[in-house]
Amino acid sequence: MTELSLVSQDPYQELGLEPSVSDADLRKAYFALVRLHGPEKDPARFKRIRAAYERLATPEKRLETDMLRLQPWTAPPLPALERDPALWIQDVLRAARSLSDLDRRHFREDFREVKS
Amino acid sequence: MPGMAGLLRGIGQVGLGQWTQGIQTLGALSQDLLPGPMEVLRVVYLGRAMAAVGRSGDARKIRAATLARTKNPTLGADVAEAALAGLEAWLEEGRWAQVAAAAQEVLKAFPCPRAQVAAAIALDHLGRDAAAAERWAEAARHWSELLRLGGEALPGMAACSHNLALAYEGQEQWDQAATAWEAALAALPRRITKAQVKSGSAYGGLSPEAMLRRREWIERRALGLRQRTGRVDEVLRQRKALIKRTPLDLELRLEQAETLMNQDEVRAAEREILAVLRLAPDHPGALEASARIHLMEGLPKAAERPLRRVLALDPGRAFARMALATALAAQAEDLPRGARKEAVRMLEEAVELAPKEGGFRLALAAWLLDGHAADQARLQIDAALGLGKGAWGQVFGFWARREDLVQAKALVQQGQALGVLDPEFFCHAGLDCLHVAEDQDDPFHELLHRRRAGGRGAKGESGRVEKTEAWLAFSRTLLDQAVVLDPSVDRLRDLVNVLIVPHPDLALPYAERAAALRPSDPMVLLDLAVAQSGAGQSQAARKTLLKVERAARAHKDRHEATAILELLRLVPVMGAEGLHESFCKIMRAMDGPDDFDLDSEGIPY
Repeated sequence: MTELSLVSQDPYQELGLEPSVSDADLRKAYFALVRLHGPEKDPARFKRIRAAYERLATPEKRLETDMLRLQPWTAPPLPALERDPALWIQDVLRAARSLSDLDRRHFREDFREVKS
Repeated sequence: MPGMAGLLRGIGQVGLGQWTQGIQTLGALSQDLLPGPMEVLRVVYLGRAMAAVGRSGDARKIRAATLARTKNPTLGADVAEAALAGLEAWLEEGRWAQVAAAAQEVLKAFPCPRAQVAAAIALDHLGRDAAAAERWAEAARHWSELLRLGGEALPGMAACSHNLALAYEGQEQWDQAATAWEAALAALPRRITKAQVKSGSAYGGLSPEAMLRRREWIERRALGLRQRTGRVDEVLRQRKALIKRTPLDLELRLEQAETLMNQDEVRAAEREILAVLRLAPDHPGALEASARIHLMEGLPKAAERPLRRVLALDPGRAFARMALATALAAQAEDLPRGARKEAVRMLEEAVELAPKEGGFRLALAAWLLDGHAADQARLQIDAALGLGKGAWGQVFGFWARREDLVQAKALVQQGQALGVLDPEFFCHAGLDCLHVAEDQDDPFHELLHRRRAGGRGAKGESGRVEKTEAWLAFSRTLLDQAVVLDPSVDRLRDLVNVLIVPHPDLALPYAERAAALRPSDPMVLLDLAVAQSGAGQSQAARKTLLKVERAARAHKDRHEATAILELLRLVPVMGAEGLHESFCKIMRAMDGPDDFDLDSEGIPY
């Protein structure tokens, strides 16, 4: 079942096309390439172009080829650091507040459990 | 609260960039003087001051200890910032391994989104690099890690699962690959909006139709892989659900029929095939599958019709040609002797359909010979011999089945002159001769054979004995010739293995030669002991068994040695003279149902 050697021989790359190319543009590009690298001018390249096109020529073959290719993964943008490593005024306020009872919401916050 | 005043002063110093003073102030504060959250604040600012004066090692140490205890987000961000200080540059330069290591280190301590994305980017690149070099195991490791990190938090995990599935397929790990494909499927949206298509966010910006085709492809791929791993019930169940969703997918139904046939669920397979034929009466795959079912059920006549229909549409279709030839040959075989003309006609067509199948030519030759058309038969036999080296064995079997010793000997002479006969041929031919000799003991066989020969040939007991002796002698000649051409221990053991049950006396000389060549191999010696026991040489068998035990104890392969020693444990019970008999029982039991037991075979264990 495995045809993964195909992954490393990308037919789109051989034809100089993006995988998102439409079927019509694919055909157009193929014929242009074949004209440029005809069997009499460049038989080796012609053979490669022909083989690459063969793998994309019908919707079924193209689907099979597409699915046996590595899929591109678009990473999300790198998130910025949330903290500025300079003085953060809220930290100072937090420290200051803890000196007072401004933050106290319940009397129990000032008491701790006594462990014997 | 002296601690709090010190903390405020220290924070203030750090804020003003007075790093050294800040370090002194915050470093001098005792943990005991500060409540928990304020202690974290002390470590945050102390760490920052230390990092600012280049004491990054100290900063890392105090941060790591507090972060492990508190998981404080501010501290976590500081740790991430320090660990990933050169992140942008590393990414720019493609230092993926460094990015992955640093980001994963951070993630071990703290769930940092920046580290998560950085690690995912690096792992994806590492996976692609490994895949490009076809280092699939490494690629799979990176993508598995990416998926573990990404989970539901990162977008595009369908693509990553897809790539992971390919990496597993590259290693032929079908079950894991199927699971990865299923994960890719689960991560794909069932419906996509036009906006998603435009933005290219959904699986590379596919149209809904293309997405549907991909979904179906993945489902089939996963099914195919599951089938490879032998999880047939699951495959049948999943494919059934898929057929329900896509009832017009004929190929899918045929795949289901194929699987059902392989499971011997013939009626269910037939239902699927009929469903396809209702939708497409000339579907060649369905017609062929229908014929296969008829052939499986032993109804070659019924198979003929769909196969002729396929060939009318496409005369070159290889499977249909071969299947029709088989159906015709099967019908010819069942015809009464008087229907020779009909049989010849059928087999001639079979030969025309599959000219490279020697079996059909020989079946035709048999009818022609019985009809006294020797010249025509010779043409077919010569054509069969022209099909390659393997055909010589087939033709020898043909003469052996017809019990024509003269022709069998002539064939061997002809083959030897041409140099086309190899040890395999001589082994098989020798066994064919043995079977003929064995058949002579069957009175029904003699009757049948004499009828075929038109009442001619040797009659009665003396004729039978004569024939048996002649075939046995020729068998010995052929088997000896196999060993002349290939005198290896393996070849000798092959012969011993096939002869030891029915003809231990014939096996004995080969077992002796193998033992002489490999005197310390316990398996070879055991063969010899069994053959000696079967040939009535109990005394010699006993002596050989002692050698077997010694050799087994010194044997390198412990598993094999243990098995042999276990077997030797039985010898005192059954005696050396019973060794061959017990061996035959074991062999017979092994040829029978899987769950044989020694007790029911009368073997003490």
